[in-house]
Amino acid sequence: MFTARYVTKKFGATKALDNVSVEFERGLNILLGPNGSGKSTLLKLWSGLLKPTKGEVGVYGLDPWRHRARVMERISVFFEDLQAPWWLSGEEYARFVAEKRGTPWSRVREYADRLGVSSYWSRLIRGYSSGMKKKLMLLTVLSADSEGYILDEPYTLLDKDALRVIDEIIAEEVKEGRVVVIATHILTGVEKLVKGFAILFNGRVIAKYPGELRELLVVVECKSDQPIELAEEALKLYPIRVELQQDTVYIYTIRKPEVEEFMRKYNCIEHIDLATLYGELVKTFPR
Amino acid sequence: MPLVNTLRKNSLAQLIIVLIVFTLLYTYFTTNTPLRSAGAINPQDYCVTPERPSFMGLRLEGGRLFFQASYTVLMGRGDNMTFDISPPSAPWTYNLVVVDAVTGEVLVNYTTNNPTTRFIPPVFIAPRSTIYYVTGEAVVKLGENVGKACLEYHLAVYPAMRADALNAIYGFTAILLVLLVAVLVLNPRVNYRGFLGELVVNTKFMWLWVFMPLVFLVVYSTLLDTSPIVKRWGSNDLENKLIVLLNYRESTRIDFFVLYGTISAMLYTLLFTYRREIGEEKLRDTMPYPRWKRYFSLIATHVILVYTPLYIVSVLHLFKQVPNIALHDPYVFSRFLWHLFIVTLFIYSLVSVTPLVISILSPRTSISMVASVTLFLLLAYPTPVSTTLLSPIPYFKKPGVKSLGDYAADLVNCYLLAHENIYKYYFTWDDNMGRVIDYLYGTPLLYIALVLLCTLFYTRRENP
Repeated sequence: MFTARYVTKKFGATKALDNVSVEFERGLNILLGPNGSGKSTLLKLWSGLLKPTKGEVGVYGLDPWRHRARVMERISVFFEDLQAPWWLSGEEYARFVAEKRGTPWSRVREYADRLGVSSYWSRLIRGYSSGMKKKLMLLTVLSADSEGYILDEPYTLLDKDALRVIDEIIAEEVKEGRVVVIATHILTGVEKLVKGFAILFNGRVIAKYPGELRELLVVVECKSDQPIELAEEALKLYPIRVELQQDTVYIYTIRKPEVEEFMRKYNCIEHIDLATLYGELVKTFPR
Repeated sequence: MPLVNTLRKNSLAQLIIVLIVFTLLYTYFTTNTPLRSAGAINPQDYCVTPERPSFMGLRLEGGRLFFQASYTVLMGRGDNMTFDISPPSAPWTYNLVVVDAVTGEVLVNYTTNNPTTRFIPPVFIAPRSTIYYVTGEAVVKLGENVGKACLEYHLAVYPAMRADALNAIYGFTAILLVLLVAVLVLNPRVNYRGFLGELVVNTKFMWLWVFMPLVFLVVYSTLLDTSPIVKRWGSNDLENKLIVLLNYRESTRIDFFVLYGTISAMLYTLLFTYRREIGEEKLRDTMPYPRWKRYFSLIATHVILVYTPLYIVSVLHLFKQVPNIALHDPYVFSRFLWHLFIVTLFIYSLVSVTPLVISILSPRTSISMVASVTLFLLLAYPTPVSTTLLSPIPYFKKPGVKSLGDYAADLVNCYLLAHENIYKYYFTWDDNMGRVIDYLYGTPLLYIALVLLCTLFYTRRENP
C-alpha cells in the first residue's frame, strides 16, 4: 500500500533520508524517531509534496509525485505545519474540504460533534486557539472516509478528551481495514493496534516491522481469575518484566515459540511493545 | 428583518454589495462629470501660394481657393457642434455635410453663399448619440495674381446634459439591485465544488483587499479634467481626425491605468506569495485537486475582481455614447466590444507579467513586495534608469517612449483609431519591425506563453 524503496532525499547538502526502505500494509502503522530523523519527510514523499532524490515511492501502486491529485483522492493527509485558511469560518472550511473530497455532510457533522468542533466552527478560524485549529484540521482529514490516512504528529496540542476521540476514530478506521500511518512522539495507547512500524534515526531506518527485525518486543496481555499464579507461570518465559494490574497480567518479552504457546494456553493477546522498543533503541543510538 | 439577517450571514451577498457600490460610484462620477468640449483648428501657417498650390485640404486653382476638411466626431444626443471658417476674401461659399456614420443618413447638407467674410456658422445639435462624419468645405473667389491665400477654421463641439447617460445609470442601478435582491431572496448556499469553489475561496480571501484599487478608482473618477481639448491638424493625421468628447485626463505624466495596474498587480503578487508563505498552498496540495487548475483559478480571481468593475463601466460608457451603433449595426458594436476586450487583455498582460513571475519565484512576501514595486516602477514610469536598462528591448525603440505605460498608451490609441486598416499600419518608429496588430495580439500571446511556463514551474515545485 505505502512503499518506499531505497529512498534518499536531500535538501541541498543535508540528507534527510538515506537509502530508506519501508513497506506498510492495512492497519495501523507508526513512524517513530527523534526530531530531524526524517519522519515528516517520508510522509511528505508519500503525499507527493516532495520528490525523492533517489529511489522509488509508491502509494497504492501510484507515484505520488507524478499523480498527487489521484493519490489524494484515495488518502487523507494531515501535517502539523498546515495552515487553515483564516479568512473562512471552520464550518466553511470543513464544507470546502468535504465538497472537494465528496464526503457526505452528515458524516462531517457527526465527527464534528464527537470532536467538539461544532460548538465553535461558525466563528472565523483566525479567532481559534492552536488546539481548536488542530481539531478542525483533524476533523477534515479523519471524516474524509478515505482508503488511507497519513497523520503527522496528530496528538500534540490536544486535550485529553480530544486524544481519546482521535484514538477511537483511528481504531474504527483500522477495524474497517484502512491504512493509517502516524508519525508521532506521543504514544497514547493506540499503538496496541499497530501492525507495522519503522523507527528512523538521522534519516536511516534502525528498526522496522514487518522487516528485518529479528527480536520483536511484544506485550502479552492475559486476563485471569488467578493473576498471581499466571504471573508466576509467565516468569518461566524469562520475560523482560511482568506487570500485574487487577485481573490482567502484562508480560513484556521477545516474541518466541514458547511465548506463542503460552498465549494459546491462557488465551492471551499480544501487541508490539513499541514504547519499550523505542526507549531501548534511543538509548542505543545516542544523537 | 430576514433580508438583513441573510445579508449578515451571506458573505457573497456582501461582496456583491461592495462591488455594486463601487461600480455605481465610479459610473456616477465618470458620467456626471461635465464633459470636456472638444474641437479642431487649422494647422499653423495654413496657406497656399502659386509655388505651393496645395496644402493639407487647401487648394489654389483658377483664381479660386478650395478648402475641404473631414472629421469623425463622436457626439451624444443634444451636443452642439459648429464648424466656423474664416476665408481670406469674399464672396465665398460655405458647405457643411454631416452624415450619420452608422446608418449612412445625410443629416445636414447646408450650403450658403456669403457676400462678406464675416459669417455666423450654423449650430448642429446632435439628434442621437452616435458617430458623425463631418465635412466642412469652402470655395473662395480670389482676385487675379494672388501671392498668398490663408484660411482659418475651427470645429467646436460642446457637450449637453446627457439625459441618456443618466437614464443608463438608472437602468444600470436597477439591474444591479435586481441581482442583489435575487441573491438575498434565493440565498444560495455557497458551492465549493470544482473550479467555482476555488474562485469562491479565493474571492473570500481577496475581497477586503479589493477595496484598495476600487477606492482609488472612485477617487480618481472625482478628479476628472474639464478643460477643452483642442486638436491641431498636425503630423499624426490618424489621431487628429477623430474628435471625441472625453471626461478623462489626457497627456498627464502618470497614466491612470498604470497606477491602477500597479496597485492591483502588487496586490496580486503579495496575496499569492503570502498564501504560499503561511503554508496555505501546502494545505491545498493535500486535497484532490490539480495544481494547474488552482493556479488558473488564482489568475481568474484576479481578473474578475480587479478588472470586472472597470470593464462593466467601460461597456456601459460605450452603450451610453453609441447606442445607435448597437441598435443599427450589432456586428459593428460586437466588434467594438471585441476591441475593448483585446485592449483590456493587452493592458492586463503588460500589467501582470511582472507579478506573475515574481509571485512564482519569490518565497517571501517581503521580497515580493520590494521586487514588484521596483520592477513595476522601472517598467511603468518614465525614469532614466528604465530608459538605460530597457533600451535594448524592442518595445522601447520608439524615440521618446520611456516606459511601458507610454508604449501601451501609444499602441492602444493607434489601434482604436485605425482598427479598420490596422493590418497595414506600421509604427513609424519601429523600422517596419512590427505592425500595431502584431504588438497588440503578440503581447497577450507572449503573456499566455509565460502563464503556461509559470504553470509548469508551479506544478513541478516541491512544497516541503
